[in-house]
Amino acid sequence: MAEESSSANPFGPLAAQWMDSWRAMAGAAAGVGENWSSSMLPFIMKRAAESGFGVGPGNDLSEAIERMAKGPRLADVLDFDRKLANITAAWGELQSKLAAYQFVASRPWMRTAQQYEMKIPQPGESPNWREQLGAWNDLANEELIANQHSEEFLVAQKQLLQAATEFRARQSEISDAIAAVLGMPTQRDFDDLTRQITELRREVRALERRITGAAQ
Amino acid sequence: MSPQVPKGDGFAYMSDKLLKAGKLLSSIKDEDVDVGATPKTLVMRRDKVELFRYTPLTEQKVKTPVLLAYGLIGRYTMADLQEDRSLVRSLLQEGLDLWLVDWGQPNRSERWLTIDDYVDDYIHAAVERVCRETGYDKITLLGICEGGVFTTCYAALHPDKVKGLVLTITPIDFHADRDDPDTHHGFLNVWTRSLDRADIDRLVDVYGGLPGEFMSSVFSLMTPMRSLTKYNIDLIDVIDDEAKLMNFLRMEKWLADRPAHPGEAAKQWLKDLYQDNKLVKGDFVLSGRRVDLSKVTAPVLNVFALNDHIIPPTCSRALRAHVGTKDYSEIELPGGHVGLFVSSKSQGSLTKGISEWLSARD
Repeated sequence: MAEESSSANPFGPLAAQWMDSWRAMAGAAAGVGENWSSSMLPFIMKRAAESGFGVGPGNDLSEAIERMAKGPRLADVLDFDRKLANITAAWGELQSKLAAYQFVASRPWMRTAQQYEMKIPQPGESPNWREQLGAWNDLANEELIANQHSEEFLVAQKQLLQAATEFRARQSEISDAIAAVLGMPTQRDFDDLTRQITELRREVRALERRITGAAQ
Repeated sequence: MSPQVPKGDGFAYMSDKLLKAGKLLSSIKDEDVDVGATPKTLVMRRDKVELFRYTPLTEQKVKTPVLLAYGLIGRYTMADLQEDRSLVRSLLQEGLDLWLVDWGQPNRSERWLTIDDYVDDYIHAAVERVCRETGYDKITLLGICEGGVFTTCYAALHPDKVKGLVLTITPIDFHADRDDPDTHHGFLNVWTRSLDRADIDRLVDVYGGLPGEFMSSVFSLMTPMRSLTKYNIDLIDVIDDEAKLMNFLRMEKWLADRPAHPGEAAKQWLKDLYQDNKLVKGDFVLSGRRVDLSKVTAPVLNVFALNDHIIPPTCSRALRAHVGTKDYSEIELPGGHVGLFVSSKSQGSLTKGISEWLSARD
């Protein structure tokens, strides 16, 4: 059977090799997944798969129509896998940065506890819970604000922000892919459209001002 | 046997009050908590931006119209939070002809709008409309926070349209936080400078703007313990006093009403101004024209709060050294960024200071 299939399509093994390489990459580490997605490779692979890896019968128009009707093909599916891998990696990174941030953000609480311990009321003193809470709040406030201005906090927060935006970008990648499958406009389409509207509006208003200025 | 009611100020008593708070809050409807309620009439709409004219509350004493412009972080309702704590209402009672430009609720659709659009299109269109409606060829601008930066830029670029410029809690030198000795001030400046430019671009590109809730969380960081005790201790403390509870809820409503900051304008705000400090360097360019602060020739009143942790007073005070006018005045008031507008203590001084300054130049 394998021989039959191979003889029916002499490029079959080549295409299979390509696909195997692709799958191997799909199983690789998250960093590789990111490189894959940001590279031209998935684009080229998709194009190659759509053209039957260069060995199709040549009826491009009918194939294109069929593709549009059927939606994504194998290459798209695997690219979606890549996108899922990317979002998983981005989630992992976000959790790691969140943990690092929380570690830095927790330090002032520990310092507050140490200072508060030294201020614990002596025998004979009996402040109510409000006074005690007030004292705690004052100490904590100072420590938290001092911590926020520290280089360590700013770096941890920046890295958390970077990880969060990266995760969000990967989420958008998924939603864009789904929108494309369903034939719905993507976020990028929406941004393109609003950019055009904004620019058009500016042009119309500049023209309006020119006309009004000329008339006066 | 009647149920035992906890007494005093112990934890049991406080828990009881917390339960009571829950019940009470569930009975208050959103429409009961009215903010920005001073009557006004819509005069013009341009995209999502609306121009309103406030209904006079007394005989007009200051003839020159005053156009109020808030920033894009938060909404103008801070200046009209409630009847007895409303800058808007107080100024109307002083006999001002007060107008408002409201940016509405920008979202991703406004992602490409720049500060150029806000200054040279929206404010300019509003000023022209006010002039047309009132017969004046120049008016007074009253800018709040970021709105103060917009109106300052407008006054520099269109000096022929500005009779006077009143600024409140407005940053001008975005690096002057370094001169403020109070360590509680200026976190926003420090935080923004700690970001890479690419981080800001990425944030805006991904979200299509600066999300309102994101800015809220940055603001919460600035007063960490107050943010943490707000919904327990503070709420419990006001629960028995209806007026105080409604004040609390109005403030919460204002805080929650935080639309996204339009994307490209946010990039300019954070990179050109907060990071590069282009306004005082004379490098800030809008619609192809450099904003030269020495071109601000109209009289200027600069009001700032001495305990403003968001806009350090040093950042506002810096304006004096840059404007072209010799008629420059300052009013420094106690209190913080929001307190300047909502605390009963500063309300009177703020209104009196502005109305007297305007009357003298009308």
